[in-house]
Amino acid sequence: MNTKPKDLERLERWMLQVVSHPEGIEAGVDSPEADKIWPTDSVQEIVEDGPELDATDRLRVYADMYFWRLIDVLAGDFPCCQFILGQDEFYQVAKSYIHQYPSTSPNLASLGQHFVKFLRSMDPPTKHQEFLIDVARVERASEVCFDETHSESISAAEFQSIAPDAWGDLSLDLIAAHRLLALDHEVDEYIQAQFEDRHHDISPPKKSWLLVYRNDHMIWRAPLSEAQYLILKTLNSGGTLLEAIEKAADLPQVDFEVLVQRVGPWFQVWTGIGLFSKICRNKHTSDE
Amino acid sequence: MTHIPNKWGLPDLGLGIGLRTTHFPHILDTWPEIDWFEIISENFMETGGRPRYVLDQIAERYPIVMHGVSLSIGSTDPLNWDYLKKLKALADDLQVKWMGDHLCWTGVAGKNGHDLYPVPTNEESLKWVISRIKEVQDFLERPLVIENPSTYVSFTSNTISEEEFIAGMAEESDCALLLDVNNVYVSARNHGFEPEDYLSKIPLDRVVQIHLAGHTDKGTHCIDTHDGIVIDEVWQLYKWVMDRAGNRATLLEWDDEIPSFDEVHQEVLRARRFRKDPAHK
Repeated sequence: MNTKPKDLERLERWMLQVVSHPEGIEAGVDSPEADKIWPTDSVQEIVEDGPELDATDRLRVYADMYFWRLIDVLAGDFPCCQFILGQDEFYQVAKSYIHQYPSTSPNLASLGQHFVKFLRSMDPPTKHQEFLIDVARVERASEVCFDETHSESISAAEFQSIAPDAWGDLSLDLIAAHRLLALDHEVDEYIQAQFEDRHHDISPPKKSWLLVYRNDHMIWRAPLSEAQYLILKTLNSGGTLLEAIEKAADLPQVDFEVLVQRVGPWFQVWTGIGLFSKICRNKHTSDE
Repeated sequence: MTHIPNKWGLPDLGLGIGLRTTHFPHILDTWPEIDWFEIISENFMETGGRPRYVLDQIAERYPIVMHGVSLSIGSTDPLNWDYLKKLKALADDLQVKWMGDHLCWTGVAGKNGHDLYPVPTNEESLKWVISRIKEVQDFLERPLVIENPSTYVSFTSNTISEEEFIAGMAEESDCALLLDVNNVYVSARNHGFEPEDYLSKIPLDRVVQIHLAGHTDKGTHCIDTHDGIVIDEVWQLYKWVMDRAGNRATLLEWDDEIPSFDEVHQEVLRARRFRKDPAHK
């Protein structure tokens, strides 16, 4: 392997620093960060003037593309967030985000991985910040599920073949392409309304639970009750079905007898949407 | 005129277009008569979702070529071996005809700009790029097909022309070339050189593929936007290459304001008028 070429490295660091400066190319050239990499009084020491454009304007082509391209990706990943903020404010928020969390991956699907954390940290807060955070969580979950590894789902027949007395120790693996979300707002209907170009008011805080999953190569959202959320969450953490039901039964508003009656139909629905990838019988025994 | 075969004997795949998700429904519904598709490698490397599911079906019926945008062969950052492993796995899965990327760097110091930044054309960079291509080719166990980029700046540290850089790079690393004649036109406008002079320095025996595309003419400069038809001047450059090299696998890129599949396909079929009778290959 050759020794790392120092002049090339310096040029690359300087150029990326300059073209990715959030305040534009002139600010990038004059920034202390760029000066530290390559102290210079003139851009023309590094970049040649062109036939029509001077060196700064030539660099500006890359600077314009840097934010345009990445903000466009974020807008595609978070369309409802963009709708809530409006195009101009979303542009500013996205630009600040990209400056704070530049891409570090060859895969642009990772670009939005810190967006929720960034929204939470915004000071002063953006408009509808808490609602926006929940919307961003759902949109990020959708993006992640879209690309998740494919896992084969178990069939309803396979699920129904389990003897009732084996249910207690049963555990179930969920497919990789799912996310369970506990939210502070009811954002599902809002997101759907925005998708269908219908008006829907931003609602005041109210707990809600949502399953985001991929089925037949499409992304779906299914609102859950808190009990349903707890059951799936417990199963997803490796708990048995009995443990999952016990956790749900601990909820103050849940009647155990009613819960037991409802669990069967819930699992029929979840099996029908291909949510489970593996049945593990007598898990505790086999784990020993 | 005697035509120049490529030194690997890689086939002339005919006339293809870039595979884009907006065309998936049309392709799956009609299985159109088209010679081949090129994919953007990164769009399919880390997904278990619909794009990969559709691609697997398409790859059963059409020749596929992989064209990446994130190899960053000119970067001074270490090679990303995780990326390369995924790239190789995808190429093996799809049994692609060949795979490549651009002469560029896309990021440095761990930060990715997702753009094709130009490499300064001097001896230091040339040596670096050659060593990196060799390392990647050894790992991928196949020749890399490197594309000439569109560029908007030139550096004071450049000591040789881009075409001389490419010729030297190809010879020393033994890589193949993807000649993007639209990029040649765009760079010629932006830097003020004659595109035919550029083409005359390219070793045509290493060219296995040609790219065509539209661009945006801003008056003072051109930007490689892939958002329209191929202009006559670019077709003339294509003809220049066909006249000397003979037929090469030819692909039209259309990435923004993408029209119907048929419209994109019809545009690349316009290349027929410049291609040679197969008997002359």
